[in-house]
Amino acid sequence: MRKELPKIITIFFITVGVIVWGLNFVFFGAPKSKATGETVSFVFDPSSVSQASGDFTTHIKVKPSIVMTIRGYQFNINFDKSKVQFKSITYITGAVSTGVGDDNSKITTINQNGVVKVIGEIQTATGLPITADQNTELVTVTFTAVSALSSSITTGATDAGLLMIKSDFSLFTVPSAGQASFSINGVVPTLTSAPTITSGGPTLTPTPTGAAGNVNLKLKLKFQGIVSKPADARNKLSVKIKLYNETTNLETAYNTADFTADDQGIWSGSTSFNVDISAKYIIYAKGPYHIQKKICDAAPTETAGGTYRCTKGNITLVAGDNNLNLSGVVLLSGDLPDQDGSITAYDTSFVYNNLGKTDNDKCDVNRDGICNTQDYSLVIASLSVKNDEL
Amino acid sequence: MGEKSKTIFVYLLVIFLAVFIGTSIFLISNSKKPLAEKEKIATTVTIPTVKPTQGSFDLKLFENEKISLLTGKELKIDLVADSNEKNIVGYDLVLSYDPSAFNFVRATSDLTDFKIYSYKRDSYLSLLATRSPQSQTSAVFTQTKIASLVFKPLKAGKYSFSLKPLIGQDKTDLVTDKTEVFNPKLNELEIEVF
Repeated sequence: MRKELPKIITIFFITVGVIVWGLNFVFFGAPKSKATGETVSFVFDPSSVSQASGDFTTHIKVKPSIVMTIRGYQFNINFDKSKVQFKSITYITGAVSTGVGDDNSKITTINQNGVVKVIGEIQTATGLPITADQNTELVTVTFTAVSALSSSITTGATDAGLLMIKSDFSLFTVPSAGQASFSINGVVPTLTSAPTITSGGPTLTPTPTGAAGNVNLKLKLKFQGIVSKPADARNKLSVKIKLYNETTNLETAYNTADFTADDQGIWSGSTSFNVDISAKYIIYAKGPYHIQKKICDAAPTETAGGTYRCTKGNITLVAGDNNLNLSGVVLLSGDLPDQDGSITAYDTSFVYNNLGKTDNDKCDVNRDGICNTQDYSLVIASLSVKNDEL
Repeated sequence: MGEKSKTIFVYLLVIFLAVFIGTSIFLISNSKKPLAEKEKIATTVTIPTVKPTQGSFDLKLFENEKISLLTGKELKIDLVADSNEKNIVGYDLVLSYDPSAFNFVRATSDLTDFKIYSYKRDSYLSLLATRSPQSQTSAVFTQTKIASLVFKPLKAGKYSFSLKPLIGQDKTDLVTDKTEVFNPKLNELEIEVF
């Protein structure tokens, strides 16, 4: 018997191990990754419409890469507010996350921003299981077409995802596999080739890029606090430009143009739009560290920096090149990256917390290579306006 | 019972014991909590889509909650903050009120290192406070009275002053010396004007 003891102990431990492993396999399945590889695909159903006016409805559905139980979901629906207007949204799966997600009480804000922030939650304790072999509808959205021009509605960008409940009841955000598009009036603008994705990873939907328009804007701008040409490494600002048509009360989507400065600190850049040249326009310009400026005149001026204000667009455009010197007014700084349309305590604090640093480009408002009290003072001075001019 | 049978019996006994222990280990490790408690855990999972709050902003009245129009007395509301042990360098605040019943007069900082910028909007008041770059002290709020808001009552009735997390482009938050932004718990006040 004593001889058999080591043998018996070995059998004992092996048997215990096999039983524990076996029961775990049977009840909880094979070992899983920490949900790091899962993705969710967003689709519009239907995915296109052709109409210049009236309402149309589409359903936004998702399909995860694995079967999962979800607690909620979050994604933005982006649309060109000059071509379509949001009308209503119905949460099909779960309900709107009250006070956080957009619902039909926020129509005005949604149409001002061109974005529907969809945030829904499953209100049962156990969540909602969704399958990987069929689409699950999350929301139904209705828009009103206001233009015969082509545009697209998109969703499922990098900020989108499902909140999955893991077996330990913790939550994991399953990211979107790529952007989904809804085409309006037949044409989604020229598509760039899809980016190369590593094997096994998500496939991204190509991003639309606009074709050259009938109107080229060659603009000169002046930014607060920059009085000379910055060093070459800092002599580029990406500025967002859009046009507002006074006749139709519609505005274009933003175009982003790169501007460079001359020795006097006047910044030049160009962009193009496809617009009706018989109308009068307002130009909106928003720099990367700046609050948005509304400009109604082709050669605006002001007596003190940042004081120019206007209400009605008076800018006429011609087909081809339009040279507009807007440097008579100053674009005030303060809305630092990541921009939210307003100078907030985040912006002032960001400069405050980086005073004296030369390695943080995000608060170098005057482009002199350092975040210092000059930048802080410029941001504080802009608090006289605070928000984007709309 | 022969020697061989005795050995087989011992092996079977060991295997039986191992099965018993293995099953016990499995059940203990996976079923420590009864089902009801598991369900309880599931029901109390916080939805991260709702912004979590840290610290607080509270509107407080240290005088009467009733104010007489006849005296022409201004209404002074104190803003009390808790920063959850964080060192604050700036904050935003949105206060919703009825502008037909109250006229905003001024907002002043009770902290000398902070300067307040106030914005009177159509139906609310927006504040931005920022710490002076010359400030040498930290600003950790522990139920600290940080600002005073003064309104002039215009008509009688019961009115609410309510702190809001977001209205339009304006928001309520606290920003730390590490540029962390967090959303405090908010409250509201009922005021009666007679």
